[in-house]
Amino acid sequence: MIGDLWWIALVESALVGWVGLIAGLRGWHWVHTERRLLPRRRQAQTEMTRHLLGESAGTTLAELPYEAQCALLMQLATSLSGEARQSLVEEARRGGHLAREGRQLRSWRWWVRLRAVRFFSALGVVPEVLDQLLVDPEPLVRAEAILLVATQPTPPRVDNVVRELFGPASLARYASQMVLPQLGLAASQSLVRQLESPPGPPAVALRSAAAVASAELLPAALRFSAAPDPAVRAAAVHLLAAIGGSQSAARLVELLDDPIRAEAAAALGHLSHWQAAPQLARLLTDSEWQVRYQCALALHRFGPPGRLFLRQASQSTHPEAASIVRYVTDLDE
Amino acid sequence: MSEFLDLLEQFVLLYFLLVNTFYGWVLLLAGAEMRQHARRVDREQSWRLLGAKIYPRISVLSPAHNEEATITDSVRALLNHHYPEIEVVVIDDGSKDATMAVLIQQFELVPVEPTYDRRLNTRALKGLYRSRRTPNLLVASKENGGKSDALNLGLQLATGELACVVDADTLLEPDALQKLVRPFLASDGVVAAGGCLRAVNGSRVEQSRVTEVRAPRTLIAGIQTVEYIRAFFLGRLGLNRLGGNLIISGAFGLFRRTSVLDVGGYDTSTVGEDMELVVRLRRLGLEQGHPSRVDFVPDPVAWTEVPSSWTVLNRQRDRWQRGLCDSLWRHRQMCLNPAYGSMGLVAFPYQLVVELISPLVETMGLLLLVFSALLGVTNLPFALGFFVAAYGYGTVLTALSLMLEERCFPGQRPPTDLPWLLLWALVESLGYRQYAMLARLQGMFRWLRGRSDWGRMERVGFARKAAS
Repeated sequence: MIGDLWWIALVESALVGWVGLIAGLRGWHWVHTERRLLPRRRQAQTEMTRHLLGESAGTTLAELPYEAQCALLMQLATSLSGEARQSLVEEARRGGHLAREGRQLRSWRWWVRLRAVRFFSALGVVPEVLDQLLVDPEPLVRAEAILLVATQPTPPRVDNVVRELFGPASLARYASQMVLPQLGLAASQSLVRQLESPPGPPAVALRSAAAVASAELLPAALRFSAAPDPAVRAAAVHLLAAIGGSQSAARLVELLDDPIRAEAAAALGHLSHWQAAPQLARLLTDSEWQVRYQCALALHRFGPPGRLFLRQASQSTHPEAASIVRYVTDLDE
Repeated sequence: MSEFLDLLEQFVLLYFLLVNTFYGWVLLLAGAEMRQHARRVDREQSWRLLGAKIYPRISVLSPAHNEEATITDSVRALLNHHYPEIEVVVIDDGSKDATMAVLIQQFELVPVEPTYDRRLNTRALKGLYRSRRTPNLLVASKENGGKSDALNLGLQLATGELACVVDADTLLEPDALQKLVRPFLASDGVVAAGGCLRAVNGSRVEQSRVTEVRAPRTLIAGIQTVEYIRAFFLGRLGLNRLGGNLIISGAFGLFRRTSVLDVGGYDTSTVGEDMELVVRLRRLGLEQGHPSRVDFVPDPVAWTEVPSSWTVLNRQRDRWQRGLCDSLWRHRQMCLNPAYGSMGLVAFPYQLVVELISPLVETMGLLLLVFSALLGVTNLPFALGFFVAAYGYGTVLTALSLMLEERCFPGQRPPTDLPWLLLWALVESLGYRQYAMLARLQGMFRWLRGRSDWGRMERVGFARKAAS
């Protein structure tokens, strides 16, 4: 028994030593490699930049390890635009990087596809298989593919981007929200179609639609402003505020009696719809702080018409109304 | 009598074998989780996020008490954080020094009407201030009520969708929030996320940034460094795969602000407010069908100074153990309750059996050794088995955790750090571990006697460059 324990202790000591050796070698190798690569990487970066700007003929990019080449290309892509960016893409094409990464896009391993699509995304190059990537089972891959849609937005691609907004929270949905403003009218038309019969909960799509806010979204916004779900109504209010117009304003005034009246008040302030000042002033005595705050802010945004009501409220006997008016006034000062 | 001693010895050995086997399993899961994480972030370009207007607004809550020497640098570091939508809320918790005067002068603060959306009871607000030149800074001055009370006020004053809780002397890496926000973007089911807390002792700090990472060369700080590495890269990372964590460090955590308000904010009657909040968030979330997942993300980093004296270490571990006891007791209905899923069946029992009971069992083991030696009936196989099972195996797990840290932050440490870290891992069991265990036992007994104070935490500070 004692002999067994000594063996176990020996094995444990060996394991600790082995871990130390592996970690040490790994750390030493990484530091050594980085030290060796750092000056070469800097030189390649300088030469590459000069080459892309037309100041020199060649580069030493090919002398770096492949992964370092990709990292450098991705890094340079962040700071270049126009012709220099196009030259960078050409370098990547000539060097075989696009071909190699393009093959990786077809891998059955999601992490390989992800690395490859990130390379294309960083360089702003649309791969041939973008449409397949937009329906990839891995959300991270879809997210990167979505970022590329703005470069070549075909109707089916835009539909995929918009459809993502109706799905569960994911980085792909977040990417869709980011990209939507860049898609403009195409996104607006797709939103109108998909809001007719939403493939999923519409709240995020409605809220994101505010970034494109075209008049053709008004019917959908008005329809969803009467939805039973308060989150959907609030999102519709956000969209109405972005679209603007008399119909939006009228509906928002109606919603001042709704549980989502704070959002409605904020939207009226955004629209500078000063005609709603009396109704907003009435809500300065609301029991909810957010409602009082948004009404006071909206009145403040209206300029002189709104400030008249604020001055009256500041002298009112209702302490909370007076307090919120002072707060908003202090913020302005 | 000897049969009874044998029975106790068998129990102690069996306990450590089971615990360390569980740890071994958790280590494998941690390795798998790290590999998954590395694949997710490979070639990631977080700079893209900086221009995104739709990024969730984060309110960084920084409670402060008597911090006149460091408050300016702390707040500036937070305001300069690389995150597109950030708000900094400083809550002065009744400081008796010139903390408020310094803030008012340095940031050109002007008083505003002290009104806010009250959802929790806190000590009275004395004043609310905005900055003329930094619109995303809000400063509140309140009556002293403790850290939890200050955070509760901050939660109500904040406007962000997410709230980040940091200690006043915690240093965030510039991209920490960009990385820590990922789980919230990826899922609506996440209610809180914790990042990696690392010991800053020994590292070089310049203008509130860690410019050179270095393992401490002193015993207490060095051992705590490996403790932190083990806790985060083995414990928390592995628990991600076992249903999530029950704790997020009070020095660095990100929460859905409205979720925390909905469950009543921090409990001011416990010293383990960080753990108690997370357990409550998860429990009520499961009971009421709300978001309840808590994730640990290994690469967002916050630096903190670990205690460098035995006395302060004792107070800290005492307080942690009292917090653990309190949190587990308050939510004891979750233990082994299938209604709470993996949290009730795995995470909670783990905290109970491994974290709570281990000081008792380990003490029992040591006492058995001493007792046997005094009686002249030392059971050598037991003694060796105890050291092998309790300490040797633990050292192996620590060493493997170092590899996970190195995988997450490759090349960040100089090559000379590894021998030091291995040394601290080896000597941890030669006195330090026993001291910490006694502090934890002390904490348990103090909790049983109803003590709920924090004790005095002294810090050296890292405002100047660290000495080499």
